[in-house]
Amino acid sequence: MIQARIHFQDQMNQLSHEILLMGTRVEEDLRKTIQACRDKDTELARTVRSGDRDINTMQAEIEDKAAILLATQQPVAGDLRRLVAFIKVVSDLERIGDYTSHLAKTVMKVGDRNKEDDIMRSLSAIADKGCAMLNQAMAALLGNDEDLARSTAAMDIEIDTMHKKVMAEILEAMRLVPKNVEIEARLMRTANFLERLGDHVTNICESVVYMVSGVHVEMNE
Amino acid sequence: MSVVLSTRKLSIHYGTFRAVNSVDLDFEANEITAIIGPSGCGKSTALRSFNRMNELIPGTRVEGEVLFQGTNIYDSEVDPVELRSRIGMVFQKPNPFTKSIFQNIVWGAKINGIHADYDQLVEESLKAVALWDEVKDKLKQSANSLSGGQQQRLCIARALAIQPEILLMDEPTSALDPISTSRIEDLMDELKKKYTIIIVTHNMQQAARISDRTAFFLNGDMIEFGLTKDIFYKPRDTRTENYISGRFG
Repeated sequence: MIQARIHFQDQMNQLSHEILLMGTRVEEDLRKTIQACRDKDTELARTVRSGDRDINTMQAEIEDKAAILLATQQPVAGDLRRLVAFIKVVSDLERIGDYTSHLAKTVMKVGDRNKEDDIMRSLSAIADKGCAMLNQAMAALLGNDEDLARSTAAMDIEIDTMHKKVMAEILEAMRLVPKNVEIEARLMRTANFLERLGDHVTNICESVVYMVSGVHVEMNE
Repeated sequence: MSVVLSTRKLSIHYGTFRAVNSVDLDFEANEITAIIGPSGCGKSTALRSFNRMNELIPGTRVEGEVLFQGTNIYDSEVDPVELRSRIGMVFQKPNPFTKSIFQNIVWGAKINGIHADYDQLVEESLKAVALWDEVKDKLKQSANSLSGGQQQRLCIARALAIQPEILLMDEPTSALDPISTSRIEDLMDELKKKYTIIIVTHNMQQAARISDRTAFFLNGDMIEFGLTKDIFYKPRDTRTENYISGRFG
């Protein structure tokens, strides 16, 4: 028998590589934003925001390449599920990029104020957890590791707990100093977006399980 | 659903070479079952054994059973000619008789003892394969004047005129262009309402498009058999996955 479809496998490997690059870029931006949050570094936050368009471009390019492979190579079974998973994952990565950008904007808006230090610390802790989850989810995707995907998704409950805690903190701050309600409302929105960030990482984990086993699982419950 | 044809521990030998190895399969009525696998895997040998066409090859030996409506077709009292009228075969290359279009339909029916209104039989058979409108004004012309796709539909019509219950198709579109291929595929989808179809194909996209169930053969063994949507989406066996993904063949 002859080993075949080497060209197709090369293209699939290239696509995996591009998703790895996109995932790494999204994770890097999130790390930089967490750093900016901790250091009150509005310039670093501005850099992250201005780079968000690159992530959107990466998503479009990967989606186009995946669509072309579907049209021209007619993949089946594991190859087909991998491509479907890739298309879903880049969409989740793009949304994570958007939430990162929102956090960066919050850092810029809060600036060097001290009143929100505790809340910003809590928000950066949530982002930090999301970042760790994202790192593991991408490793699960590229390593076809269903177990890692499942254990990573299970971490989302920690984000939910942290989210509840920071929401209570924000509400308390609103009660104490009502005139700061505008900035606190923004922090509340940011907290909600970071909670959603965890959900999108969980979606990536679901895509990994689907890719490996062909089974659709709901882990966002 | 009901099973119309089954194999039980079916093995087929050419001399000392075992081409098919202890295969168990059940073919459901009014479904299209595709048999796929690389060259030399035994799929065409298995197909030919379903109406004893393999007996025409010297040195062929069959073990096990092919059960058609509960009877082993290899029992000594089964008449292979009568059997082939109930289980018809369409081949890879269109092979019309060098006779008129009309005679192509009628001749096979006549020698199989079908006494009918032959004008009506010709019209019904050609309509069943969507060829009537194209040839109704030239029924006396030679079948060889038709295009390859038309010839293949004529051969299917010829098989239908004998009123079979099962149609065996051995790569029926491999010699046809894409448009003719899609017409045959559409036709098969229509024909399965009345007939059971078993098709051997090298074209995996074709198997995925048209069949309800798929059997994957490799080196004479039946590796996996199941619903086509499962075989092409979530195959159980790595060898099936590697074959349908085109990683070997």
